[in-house]
Amino acid sequence: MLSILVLSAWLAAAGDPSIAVERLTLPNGLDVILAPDSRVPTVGVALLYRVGSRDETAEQEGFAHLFEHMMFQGSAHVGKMEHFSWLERHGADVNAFTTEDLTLYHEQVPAPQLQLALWLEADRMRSLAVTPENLRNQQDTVLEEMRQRYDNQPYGQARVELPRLAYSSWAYAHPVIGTKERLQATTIDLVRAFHASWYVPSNATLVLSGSFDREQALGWIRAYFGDIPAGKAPGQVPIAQAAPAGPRGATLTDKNAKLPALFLAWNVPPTSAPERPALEVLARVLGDGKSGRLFQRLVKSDQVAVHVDAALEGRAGPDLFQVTVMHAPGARAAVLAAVADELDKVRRDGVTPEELTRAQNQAATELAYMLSSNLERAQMLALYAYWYGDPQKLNDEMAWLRAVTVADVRAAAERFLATDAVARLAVEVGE
Amino acid sequence: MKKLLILAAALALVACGAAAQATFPEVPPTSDDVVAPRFAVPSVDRTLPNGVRLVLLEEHSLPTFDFAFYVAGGDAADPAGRRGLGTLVAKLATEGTARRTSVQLASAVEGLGASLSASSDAEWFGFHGRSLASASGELLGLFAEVLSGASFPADELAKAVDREKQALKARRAQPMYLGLRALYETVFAGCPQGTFDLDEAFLDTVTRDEVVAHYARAVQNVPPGGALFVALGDFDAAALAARVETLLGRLPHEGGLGLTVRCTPSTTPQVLLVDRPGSAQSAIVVGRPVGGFSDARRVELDLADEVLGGGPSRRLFVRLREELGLTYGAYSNVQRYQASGLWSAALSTRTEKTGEALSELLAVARGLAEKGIGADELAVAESYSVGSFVLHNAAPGQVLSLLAEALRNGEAPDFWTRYIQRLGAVTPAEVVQVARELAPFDEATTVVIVGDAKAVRPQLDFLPADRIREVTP
Repeated sequence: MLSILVLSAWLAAAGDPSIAVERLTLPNGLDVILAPDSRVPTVGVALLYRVGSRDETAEQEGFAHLFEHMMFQGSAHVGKMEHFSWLERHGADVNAFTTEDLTLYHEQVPAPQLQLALWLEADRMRSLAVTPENLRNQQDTVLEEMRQRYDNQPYGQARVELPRLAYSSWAYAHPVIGTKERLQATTIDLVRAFHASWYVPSNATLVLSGSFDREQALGWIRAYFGDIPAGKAPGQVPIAQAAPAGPRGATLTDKNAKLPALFLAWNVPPTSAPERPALEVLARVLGDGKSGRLFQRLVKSDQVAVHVDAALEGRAGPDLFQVTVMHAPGARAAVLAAVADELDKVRRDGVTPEELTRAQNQAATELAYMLSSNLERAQMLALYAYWYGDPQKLNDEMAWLRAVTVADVRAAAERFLATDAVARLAVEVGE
Repeated sequence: MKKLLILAAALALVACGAAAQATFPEVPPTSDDVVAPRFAVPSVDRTLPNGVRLVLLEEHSLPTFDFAFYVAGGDAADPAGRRGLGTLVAKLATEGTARRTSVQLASAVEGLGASLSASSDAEWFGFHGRSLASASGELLGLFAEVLSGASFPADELAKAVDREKQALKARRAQPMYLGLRALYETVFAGCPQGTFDLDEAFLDTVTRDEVVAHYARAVQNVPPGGALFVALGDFDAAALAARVETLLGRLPHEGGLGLTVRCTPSTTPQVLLVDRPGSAQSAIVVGRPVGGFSDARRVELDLADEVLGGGPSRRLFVRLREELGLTYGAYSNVQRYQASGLWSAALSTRTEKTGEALSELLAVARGLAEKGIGADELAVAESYSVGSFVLHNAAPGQVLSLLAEALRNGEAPDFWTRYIQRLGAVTPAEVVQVARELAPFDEATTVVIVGDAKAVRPQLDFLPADRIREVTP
């Protein structure tokens, strides 16, 4: 038995998560969340800064993501790229991601190296080397990332264009990675000012999940982070989404694509809204697995599509319910009609009890497997603290989904997924 | 030498760290302690009279159930000229049974919150399932139904063929897919490992009769290479063994499969330029054959690969991204089969820098043998490989996959324990020796570039012109 490799469950008898969480705030405002579990000798570390692309001005476009790169370029006691090498030489993994709402830096370490991970995060929080040389280097790297992920990939540009079509607010409409023009035109002064504003203890949440001693970990956190000036982040401004004025549509030609595609998006409430569980069930009924309604209709029955997906984006502000279909040439009208018909059916007849149970069971299984990783658990706690203001809401996730009724799903479809409220982006195959 | 710890001691050793300090320390606080994986003995490990081996591992800390059933053969069991048959059979195996239509089967599996799928790789056909432990009995029942009664409806075959043709088109839009496909099909030409994906010619001619016959011959039958059922999760091993024995003990073991697993990969140097006019970047993939799963020098080569391209602080990434700004990322890895393997490295770069990036990539790879490796650099690679082994193999599916991989390649359940021990004992000289023993890089490496051939070709003047071949995707 590979006992060391199998992480603990944190699940109650009913199969729902039951994670013991302690939360405290340092005098400088750093939000600290501890979720100890000694069954496996690893620790997931998540440091979430409450800054994403939504917080950028036009001249700062792409900065939150740029800092995802700059944060590995060195600090007072850590040389360029040494954040990676210190952790890797001790068997740890490190990475980061940026969204419209937040930036999350994370490490997964063997338990004896937790102290190192905390020291490294603290050193770059207090003394990041925001230098002209590092900026130039990372501008090049981000431009290369842009080419790889957007310019040279099928549907890459669609991922940039859909939010522009779906949101009235620039905060959510512009791409996280920014634009070449803005990135190349930026200055070190602008970048430094952005960093000084947002990357401060009072704007961050630090989560530890896994095998650590509470007192010892708190001692390290206080020693390394405690004397960093609190700073005063501007705070995230609520995003106002104008009510959809009607269907919005656009078409783009993609020379990288070999099949046409449709990207459909409806504006829905934020992740923390009470309607979200019903919308998640609806997304699963429509788009999950081979028994999902859209897969059965578009791929199996009508045979007009190759791939179909339905999902919520997961934004803290006004969210998007997206349906993506990669379809056969010439089948766009048929796909649109079929999607509209399937949504009509849900609005008219709701979903079946079996479909509701299936969605709930799928969510329960996914959550159980997700929480088997200390790193994913740390990330989820950080995200739930950000979305709901309380990391323990993660323990309520399955209860929320189980409370959803057939009537709730039907009501959500009726209220939010109206045919005349959709943003529709069609991708045509280019030469 | 670093001290290896077992799980029970791990927490105590955490306590050796520093207490709260008044001033910020200038030196990183590290520990030399390494958490080593500990592998326990399976609760059940026995082979049925028909050659099916059962290996069951109880783990009660998660309410989950993961299983896999492998039959030796996979793509190697494809009849001559019918490359892709096993892959298509795998895609169709869960599209209906004698009792249920495709949608009824999908609803039954997904209604449990479970998953059940099949796959075919170069050497094995496999089923994979997972669910919450509370649904494990029903999931096993559905697996039994599929194994004994997959019905391969004619309409599902027709739909799958159309769907796969369209999906192939979509996959061919991905530059890195094209690069890897060309690499595998070139290095493993004529071998089952070269079956990277389906192709249109096969899809145009496949019949239901051959699908049904292949399933009976290569999946519902235990070949001389054997079959393996592995499971891990919250179950009673004795009860599960009894049930699985009833299910799998009935499979015939008539053999007769003409497997071609032991196939010699190509070491002829080649440069394939896959034309993608107007491409914003070039995808570059290089690769060369190496030893198989149980190769005597495997650990040394794995460490050499780690030093070259195992992560952001390794040679390829540092040189090509951080020093030269040529790419978003450059990595390498080793894919291993029973009798052979493939080392490969890959990156994407802007079109006008293709030649420079390829030249640098090859220089970094050659540098391991030519310039050697420092003790510190190897120590980093060793520490990372040992330490991250725990991190990367924490989830139930990962654990199951790891164990099954060792067993499928004829190794004992303690293979990874010995592997980890060896990882910590390799010297720099041994790694360099392996790098030098491999044929010189320029004489055994296949290079694939997917990009705008017209713009890229003039940048390849440092390569022998007669090795370069332009192809269309």
